[in-house]
Amino acid sequence: MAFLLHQLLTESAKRNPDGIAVDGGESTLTYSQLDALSNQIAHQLRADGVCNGDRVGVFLPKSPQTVAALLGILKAGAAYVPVDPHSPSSRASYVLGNCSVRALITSSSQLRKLAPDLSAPSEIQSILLTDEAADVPAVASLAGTAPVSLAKIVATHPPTNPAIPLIENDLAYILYTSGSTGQPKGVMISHLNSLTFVNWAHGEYGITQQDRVSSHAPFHFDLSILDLFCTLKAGGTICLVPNDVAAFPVRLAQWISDKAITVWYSVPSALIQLVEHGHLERHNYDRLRWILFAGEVFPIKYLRRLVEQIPHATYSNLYGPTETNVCSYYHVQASDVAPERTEPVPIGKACANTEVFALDEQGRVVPPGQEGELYVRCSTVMKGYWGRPDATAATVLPNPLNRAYADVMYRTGDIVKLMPSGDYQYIGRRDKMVKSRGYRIELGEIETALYAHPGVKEAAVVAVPDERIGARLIAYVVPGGSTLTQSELMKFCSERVLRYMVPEKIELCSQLPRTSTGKIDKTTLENESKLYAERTAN
Amino acid sequence: MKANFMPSEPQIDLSSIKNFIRTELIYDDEKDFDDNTNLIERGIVDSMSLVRLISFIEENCDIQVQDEDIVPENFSSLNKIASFMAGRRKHA
Repeated sequence: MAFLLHQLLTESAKRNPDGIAVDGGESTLTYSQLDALSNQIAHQLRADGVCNGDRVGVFLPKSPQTVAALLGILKAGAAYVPVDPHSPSSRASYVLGNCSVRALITSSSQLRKLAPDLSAPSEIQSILLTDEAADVPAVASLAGTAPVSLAKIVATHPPTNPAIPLIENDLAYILYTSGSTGQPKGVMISHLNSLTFVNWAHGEYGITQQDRVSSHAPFHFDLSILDLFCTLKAGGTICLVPNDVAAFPVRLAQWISDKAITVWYSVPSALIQLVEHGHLERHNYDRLRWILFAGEVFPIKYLRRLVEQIPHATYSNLYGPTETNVCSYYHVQASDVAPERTEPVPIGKACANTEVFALDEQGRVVPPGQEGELYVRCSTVMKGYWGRPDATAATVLPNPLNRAYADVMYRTGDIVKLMPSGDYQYIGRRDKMVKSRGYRIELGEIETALYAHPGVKEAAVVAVPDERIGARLIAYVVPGGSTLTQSELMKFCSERVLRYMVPEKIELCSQLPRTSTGKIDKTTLENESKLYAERTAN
Repeated sequence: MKANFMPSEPQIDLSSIKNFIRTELIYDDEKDFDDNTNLIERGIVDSMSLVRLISFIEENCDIQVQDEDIVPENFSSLNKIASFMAGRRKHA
């Protein structure tokens, strides 16, 4: 019985060595190839001094080799830290520095992008490249050690498993999410945290060796865990959606059919694009049996159209913050997409081996029909935020309903309503977090980035709800001098926060509206930005 | 002297699109980004930015972009965008 994530690969490689594990379009890896390559990467990392519990960064676009890198890091006894390959280098190096990664797996071109920001003292002692080192900048912390290429790694190390002893409570990966105080927070997930979810999803969706599962979410987004590890557990095929397909709905619709995808998993906004512009009626989706979605609310009118176009698939809404993996789910019924329905489908009931409950402001469990904040008890709940015991203590709390022994629950910040059916319906957030295309965005992180500019006197960011993508961001800035321009601020902001957090418009104004207590009047700004959003509706 | 009956080649003003990409999509200056740069590989054209780029083209260049037009062959570089737009104008 596997108790570590990478054992899922080892076991499937024994059962199905010649099956395709990863289909990357231009290149593929069979189970035995993926197993061997990840073993060799693990040997290299150990030879470079990586020890149990160390962190190893991955700064790469998606490919079969990138999957091998993630597995190789796990097999080396380390935790993988995936960094958005398109993130600004200052943010990428913040993440790598924040959890002090010991090694980095990247490519020559990605390393060139990162190099100016890596010159600061870092603990990176080894760099593995997926290509041959070409024109690679020197990284000070390497102390003269040259980056080593994948070809050299394969030529040097045996394909056998280094079999590093680990236990299920050891860290498997750290995923960074937006932080309200301005810096991203690293969510630490152990093998047990992840496997509890993976085992449940594997069983609930009945994933088998015949399945071809889409990998649409990037590896730094927690939706990727189902794509990767449920498929590896089943011995099925992970099908990586290429970049030049993902953005183009007509191509994506064709790709899903051509690749004979059997299980699709993504944020609703990707599915809305397909419904609106993909011409799904032109293709055959007979093999598509599950359409899974998570990360944001799926407006019912688009879900209804999708169900009409692909009626034989079963639809399931998965819910859970990164900190808890997935904790509840709901299988969509025919009656849910009836023409008269306007509210979205519920987030449903707890997954197996999971408890969810809503508490009111007095800490009492809410009865059916009432709203409250959702809490989760499960072995999927994260180990904490890297280096942030304060932030961890604010959300991972002792369970007040059990004082007999140490027992924690996670405070989600999500307001839900308990329905008479026992399902939970998502209502909204307790705080200022918003979501765009399933990505969590703390408006405070963007405001902090704007305030870092010396020419900014005041800044406020508001989110306009948008049913297709979740939210559009507008910033209002009072300049300290007269020379500040919108494009200069856009550039400044894009160098500090991820792409989906850069406001689409930065309005320069002479002052910000105030409430009677002197606070920035966000309601007035929100109304103003709604007018702008209506004028520029896509 | 022959009268010039030949219609002139449709003039595509790339500078406004270039400027839009630079100020609204990548917020960066011209360095590392020319007419042939693969905008998809660079992460400049993705599902997020494409919707905004298309509505900019539709609003400012008097071109209707059909679902079938939204393919990498038409949007992977500035030059590809220019050829696509030139083709569209001829047919208009």
